[in-house]
Amino acid sequence: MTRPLARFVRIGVITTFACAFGCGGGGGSRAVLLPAETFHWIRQPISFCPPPSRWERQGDNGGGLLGVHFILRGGGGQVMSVSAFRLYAERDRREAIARLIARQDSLTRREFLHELSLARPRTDEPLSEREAEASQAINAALDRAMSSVLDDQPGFAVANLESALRASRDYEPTLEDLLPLIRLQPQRMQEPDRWKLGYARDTVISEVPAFATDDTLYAPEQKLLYQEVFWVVNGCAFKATYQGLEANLPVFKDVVETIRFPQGGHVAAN
Amino acid sequence: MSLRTSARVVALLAACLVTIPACSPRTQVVQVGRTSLKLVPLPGWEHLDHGRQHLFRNGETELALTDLGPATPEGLADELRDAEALWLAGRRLDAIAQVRQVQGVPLWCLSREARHDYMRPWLDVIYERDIANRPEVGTAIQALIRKADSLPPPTPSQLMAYALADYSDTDRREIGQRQVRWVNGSEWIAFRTWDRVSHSYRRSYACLEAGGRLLRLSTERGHESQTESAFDSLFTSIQLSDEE
Repeated sequence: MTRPLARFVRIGVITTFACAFGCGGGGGSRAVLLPAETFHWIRQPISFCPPPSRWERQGDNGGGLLGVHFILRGGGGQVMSVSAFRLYAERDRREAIARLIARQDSLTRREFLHELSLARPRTDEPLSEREAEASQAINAALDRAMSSVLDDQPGFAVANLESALRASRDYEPTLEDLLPLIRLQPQRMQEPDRWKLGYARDTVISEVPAFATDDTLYAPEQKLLYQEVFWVVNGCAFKATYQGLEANLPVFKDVVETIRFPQGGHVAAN
Repeated sequence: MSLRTSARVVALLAACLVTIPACSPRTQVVQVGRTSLKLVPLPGWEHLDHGRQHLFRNGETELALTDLGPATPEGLADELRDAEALWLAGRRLDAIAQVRQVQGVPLWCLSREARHDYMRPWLDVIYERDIANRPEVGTAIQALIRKADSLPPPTPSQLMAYALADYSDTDRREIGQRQVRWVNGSEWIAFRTWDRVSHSYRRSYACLEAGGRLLRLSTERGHESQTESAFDSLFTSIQLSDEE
């Protein structure tokens, strides 16, 4: 190879490597998120741009949550997640009662009574006093509807179901109601000593009132940031969690910035 | 450049020109059920021709091209006319078996009552004794053909739903993306399903109404990273034969 040609090749190789490392996630570069996706885990949908594909996604349906984890490949336990609190969303009986009203003409008495029993709200461990009052009012109206059916008075049954539906609309859980139940409480974790609570604050994220926490997790191998953001939209609670190193925190923040709550779900007061 | 070098370059170019056609993908004519089409098989993939269904396999990855039966009332009537031809040819039991097996989107879209109403001429005779020798069966087939014309044509959403109906895990999946794609002059409905919770385990599908039949190209097995490019490559190569 002639000398000028060898020099040209050398410069080309150096330039290529410089470009490759320059674009490959150096200091200030931000990861490009995937296109936005809308998830319909509960009544209120949520949309966001998932992190890049090196964060491997896995569905999560445990502990009263329904959501998705993004686990960093080779990250030694670094994970972020976005989840809905399915267990609390299912306490809302509006859909069940409305469906019963819509179907009451086509159901036999036995089917109607069965559906009616499924439409009842839970009364154990109420989220708040207001929820307990609303549940009692709904159950009283459903009791009257059941008596009307047993007395062969379907017109009264419908009126009572509508009364139950109105009562169920009277209450929607707020962030304030749910926060004591959903935020991190080390004493409830398997190894409480591994968690150190840090800074917590009310804030607004994605144009919705939110509650954010910056805690620390002392994992066996390394110390990890443990950050959570909570929202309650249209009576439905969501959270985004990050467990990882400082270096990957910007990816989580970018994902959180893209979170939206579509279909006009109104925001519960904080 | 010396004369010898020029000769080498010319020889190299000639060799390239000879080998390029041999390397270019070869279009293959295949018969998928009743539909004849051309496609370019995926290099290195196994191609199994099962008549109504063609499978394309590579390790744990599998794509399928399937004729799902009548997609339109005309397609349904055509299938019944074939049964009528069998009946008139004296193959009575074959004709009866064919009518019994008739399925397809137009019937699938009907409510249970409407389907029962459509099949009534057939149901009125099929439970009689010695039906192979009863002329009423031929009349019933003709009635089904006439009634097929009055069935409503299915919507694109119904075609898509039918294309997914034979999968057992449909309840756990949702349609993530859907678009109309023109491929070699045919209007396909291309769509993708994914797991409801995580939006992972994505599978690509495409369906086409061709000559009254429903064709489906589907991802049967394999991770999306391995199947997506193969699916797209096979999909964009499919071309209905001229006689369609």
